[in-house]
This record gives sequence, structure tokens and C-alpha cells, in this order.
Amino acid sequence: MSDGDAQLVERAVRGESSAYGELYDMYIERIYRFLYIKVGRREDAEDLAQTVFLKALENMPRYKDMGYPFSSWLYRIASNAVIDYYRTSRPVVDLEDIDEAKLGVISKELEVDVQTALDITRVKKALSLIKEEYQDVIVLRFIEDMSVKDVAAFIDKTEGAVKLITHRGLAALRKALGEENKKAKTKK
Amino acid sequence: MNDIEKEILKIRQIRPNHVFVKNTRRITTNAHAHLYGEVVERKFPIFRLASISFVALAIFGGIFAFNQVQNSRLSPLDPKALRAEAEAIESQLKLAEVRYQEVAIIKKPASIAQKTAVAPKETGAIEETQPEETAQMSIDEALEALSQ
Repeated sequence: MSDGDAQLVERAVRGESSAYGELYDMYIERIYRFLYIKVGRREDAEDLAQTVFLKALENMPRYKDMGYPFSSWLYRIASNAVIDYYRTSRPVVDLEDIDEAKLGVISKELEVDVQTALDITRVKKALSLIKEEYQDVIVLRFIEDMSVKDVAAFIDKTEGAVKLITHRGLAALRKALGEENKKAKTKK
Repeated sequence: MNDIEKEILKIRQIRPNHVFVKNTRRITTNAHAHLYGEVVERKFPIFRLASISFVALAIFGGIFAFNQVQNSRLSPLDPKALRAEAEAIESQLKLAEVRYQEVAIIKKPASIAQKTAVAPKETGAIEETQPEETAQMSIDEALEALSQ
């Protein structure tokens, strides 16, 4: 955990709401993105993100500086929230069925153009096709710029294992993206 | 950076809606203030009471301990004790004096005792020498008695 995070957590536990606000500002975007990739719906990702920060708030006195970032702890809460989300049989968006109208909605939601929305949807679809472990490691390593050490702390594995999972995950994602591109071409 | 990583980075464009971010921030910080503010308020009187009790106990304990130490140090200088001690010495001196006088009276030589018994009607020479002899004998006798 970085010194800044440690101090903010300490201050937040002592009762400083502004410190918790700062932690929220630092991590809301990352947590939301992580959740959005997992559940594929803006509303659900928002609900879950709020739940994650409220749960973190409740559990913060029990949180101890274990040598890895506060974000790893937050991602773990987020990961558990996703498990709970699927346990309650929420509707899962089938990305295969996404048409142009839906892409329009997505582009509006994400405040990007339709082509970018399509690219994002395609990558998201490919990510959903690979093993969840690969998915988590790729998202944290390449999208959230987390170090191998911090990812290892999050998934509770060694740094060597994380490197291996990253390698395999990228291979699996490349294959999935290739298949998605083929599908897109045949549709056209 | 290879192609696959470039593809992955497109995901970074996923960002939460700013209205959602703002509202959730307000909700979570309010929840924080409610949760931790209450905990602090609830615990504060207990902490305050405990700390006051501790301080009071420490003060009274300190005063008591200080008094104990002072008493033990100053007890030889206590005026009452000193007076009692002085009186005891004085009474011992008086007792020694009384005993000395008793010894002096008892050990008077018989001749002098006779002289003193007869003396009132005889010459004044005897009357003049009598106190000297009595005093000299008495002191010797008294010293001897004391040495024994």
C-alpha cells in the first residue's frame, strides 16, 4: 500500500470523511470499469460500485496494511460483489445480440463514438470468453496498470504465477479476439 | 506495445457517468460521517469518563503516596515525638538524681551520722566540716554505685 493510501485510510478510520472522499475519487473509476467489464450493464455496474464503497466503508476498521495497495482490497470486495450479483440470477447481457441501436446506447453511456463503442464491446466480449482468472489479471495489469506484485496480492498467488497467467491470458484473449473479428467479418 | 495490448487499452475509455460519481460520493461520504461520526460520539463520553477517572485516581494516589513518603521521612522531626522523647530523657535524669540522693543518704558513715545527730548542742566546727565530708563520701559512693 502506498504511503498516500495508508495515510488516507488511517484518517478515514479516525473519522475524517474528506479522507474517505479522496479514496473514493482515486478508485471509483477503476472499480466501476472493473465491474462494468464483469456485468456488462451500466446500471448494474453503478449499483455494484456503490455497494463496494459502502462495504469498504463498513469493513475499513478491520482492514490492515498488509503491504499491498488499498486498490487490491477494493478489487477483492468488488470481485465478491460480482459473485453475489450472479448468485442472485441477475439478467446477463449477451453481447452477441448487441445491435447498432444498443451500440448507440452504449456509446451514449460511455460518452464515446459508435465505432469506439463497438471496439470496446468487442474487447469486452472477448474478455468474457476467457477464463475469469485470465480476465482479472489482464484487466488489472493492462487496464489498471497494477504491478505484478499487487496483482499477485489480489489473486493470492505468487508473482511467477501472475506472469504465467498473464502470458496465457493474452494468448487466450488474442484467440478470442480473432474469433470475434472473424464473426464480425462474416456478419458484414 | 503490441496489437493485443492496444486493443485492451480501448477498455480504458469506459468511465462512470459524472452524475453517478457525484451522487455516490455524496452518499458514501455521508455514510462515512454517519458511521464513524456516531462511533466517535458514542465512544467519546466513555473515553472521557475513563480518562477523568484515571487522572483523578492518579492525582489522589500521587498525593497519598507523597504524604506517606513525607511522613516516613519527617517522623523523626515530629514535634510531639520529639517532646515525648525529651520528656523521657528528663525524667530519666530526674530519676538518676533521686537515686543519687538516696544513695548519698543511705551510705553516710555512722560516726558522722552520730555527730549530726548530736551536733546541735556541740561546737560549730563540727557543723562546718559536716557538709564537706558528707558531699565527698556521697559522690564517691554514688560513682561506685553507678559504675556497678
